Amino acid sequence: MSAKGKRSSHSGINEYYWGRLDNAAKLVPAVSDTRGTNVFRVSAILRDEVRPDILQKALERALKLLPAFAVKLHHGLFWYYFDANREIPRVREEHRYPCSPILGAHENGFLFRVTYYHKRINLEVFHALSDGMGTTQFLHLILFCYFNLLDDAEMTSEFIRSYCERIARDFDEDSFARNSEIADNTRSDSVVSKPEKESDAFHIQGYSYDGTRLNVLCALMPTDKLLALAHDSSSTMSEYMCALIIYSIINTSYRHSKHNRPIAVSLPVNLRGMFGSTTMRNFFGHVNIAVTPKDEMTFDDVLGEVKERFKACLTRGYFERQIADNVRIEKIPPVKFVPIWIKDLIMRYFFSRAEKKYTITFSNLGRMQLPEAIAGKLRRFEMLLGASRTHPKKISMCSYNNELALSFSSTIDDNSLERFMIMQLVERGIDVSIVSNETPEPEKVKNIKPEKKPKADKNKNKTVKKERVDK
Amino acid sequence: MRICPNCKVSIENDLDYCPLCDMETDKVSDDFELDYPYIKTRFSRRLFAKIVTFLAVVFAAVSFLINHLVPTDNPWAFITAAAIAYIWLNLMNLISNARNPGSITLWQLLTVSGLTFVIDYLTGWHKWSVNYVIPALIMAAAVAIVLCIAIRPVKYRAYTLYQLVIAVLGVLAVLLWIFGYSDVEWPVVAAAATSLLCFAAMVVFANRYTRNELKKRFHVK
Repeated sequence: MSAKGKRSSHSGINEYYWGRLDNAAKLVPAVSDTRGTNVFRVSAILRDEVRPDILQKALERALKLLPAFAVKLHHGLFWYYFDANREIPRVREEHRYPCSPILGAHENGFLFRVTYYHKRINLEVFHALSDGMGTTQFLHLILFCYFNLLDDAEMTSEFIRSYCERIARDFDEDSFARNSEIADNTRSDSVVSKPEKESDAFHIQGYSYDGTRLNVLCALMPTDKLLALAHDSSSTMSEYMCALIIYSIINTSYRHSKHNRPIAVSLPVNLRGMFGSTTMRNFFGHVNIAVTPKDEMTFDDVLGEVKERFKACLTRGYFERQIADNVRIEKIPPVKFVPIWIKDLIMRYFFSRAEKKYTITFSNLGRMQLPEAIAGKLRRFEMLLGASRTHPKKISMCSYNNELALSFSSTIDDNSLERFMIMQLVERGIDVSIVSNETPEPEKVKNIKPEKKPKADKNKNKTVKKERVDK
Repeated sequence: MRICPNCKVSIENDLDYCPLCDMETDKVSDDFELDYPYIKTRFSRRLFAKIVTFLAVVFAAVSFLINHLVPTDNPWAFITAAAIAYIWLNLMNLISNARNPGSITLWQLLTVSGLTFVIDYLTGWHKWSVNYVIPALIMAAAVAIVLCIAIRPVKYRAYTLYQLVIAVLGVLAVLLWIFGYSDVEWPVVAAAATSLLCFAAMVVFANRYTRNELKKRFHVK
């Protein structure tokens, strides 16, 4: 046996492990390519520079503690499946655009990627593997291991152990399948109105960039200020931001559109709390918050409509129905025996139909809770969704320690939505600070800056002096 | 830190122009955050695939052209085209996923079989390809995978499916003789026997691995 084999035998996953994809994940491999990567990232921004060697060790340890992530994706004759991956994931310095595709053998077969850049640790995950909540828990575990290896006193091994016991009880359970039975049984009792047929939503269009280029714009602001703003208009943070997104779209790209289509924000909802699940795999539902713009619509009009939609949709009954509907399809006997490549085609068709129903995705990861011991070493968290060809803009936010990060990802050369939305926040008295991935080319910085500027200044001074002498 | 006087926002990165409004920014202090690297455009696999495909088409076209213009009874350009197709298919496989020796073996088996069949067919159909070459290739592929496993047992699981496919091809090769496409019986029977025995060895010596692998690949629910 080679040395590589011996090392990989330390991984936490059993060599015979294999698992089925959960209901939501089944769709993801079929509809992902280089332009719709279905990759998202959660980043932690530390106070100090990241130490790559420690991060590598921390990742290996975290993966051993949480083997739900130690898998690769394979396809059988009828379905995709997760297979045990006993390789070692490599931590690398970031060198590509955020949320670039995770497919094939680039990451040693893993469906996630850990990169660092100065003070940032980025965890990028292919959506078939896990959702925002599962990914956040994995990132937290990596951070705990990182700080434990850095300084044992502040983050104890006991804490890590108890954390793992708490989060990973049924790590790869398909919570959709489990809860679909509950939903089917209770369906006759619960009063669930059939959701009205949604019409196609307005789509943001623009000239897209080549390749995997993704523009990132992150607006940082104090959480309490924004929360106060939301509470002033008696709404929650999600409602307020949703309304602001719709209002911004109405005032930017929608103005030029010919059709009077509704603007719909697709809002992923974490269902773990609602259904009592602790799975590491996907477990989320989604609601489309749609508003049909009318002439002279003010922000308060939009907010009112958004609040109504929230009240109607964010109920257990709504999601029970959604889960049951989605799971029922995969349980139809003839569907099971359709070869995977035909299933892929069918899934792509239904996915493209569902995609037409919303304009933009807005994912709110909420407030991060981390132990006090390491609070001084972390500055903030960011979440970023990979935008696609059909949905060139996606918005996400999360907050930690009173610092809220609102991230925009964009594959098109148009930032009017971002600008309008941030201007709205600034007008409402919020201090906004901006982070962007527009980075100047390093050589240009070195060559042009130190040479040109001082020379120009010197010449100016000389001419001024000469004039004075002449006079 | 910089600020944009137009947008009234502060900018954490050292950017001369505001990412929102593209206007000049003012420098407030010298502490900047480095959040994202500069991305260099790389030589992509897709470009390599395009070049290979384009060259393949050019070479094939040129050989057909020469074949047409230089008077001859021999349609040799079809053989050239088959050889180009063989090279092209293997380079494409190399670009997409060439990490698994099982996949490479199976791919070679299929493409070399196809190539020899075409050459045989175009040079008077003496049936040497179906009689001897294809059965021999099946045997060689089955043995090659057994050798791969002997050398790197860690990667055992990756080979199971390919060995199964080769066994199925071995059995199908017998059909060549039954339906009269091949004239000689012993090579196809030997190919079927070798490939089946190699797969049987997998079932016998790595029973749990093989069962597990087949269960994964063919699970319905």
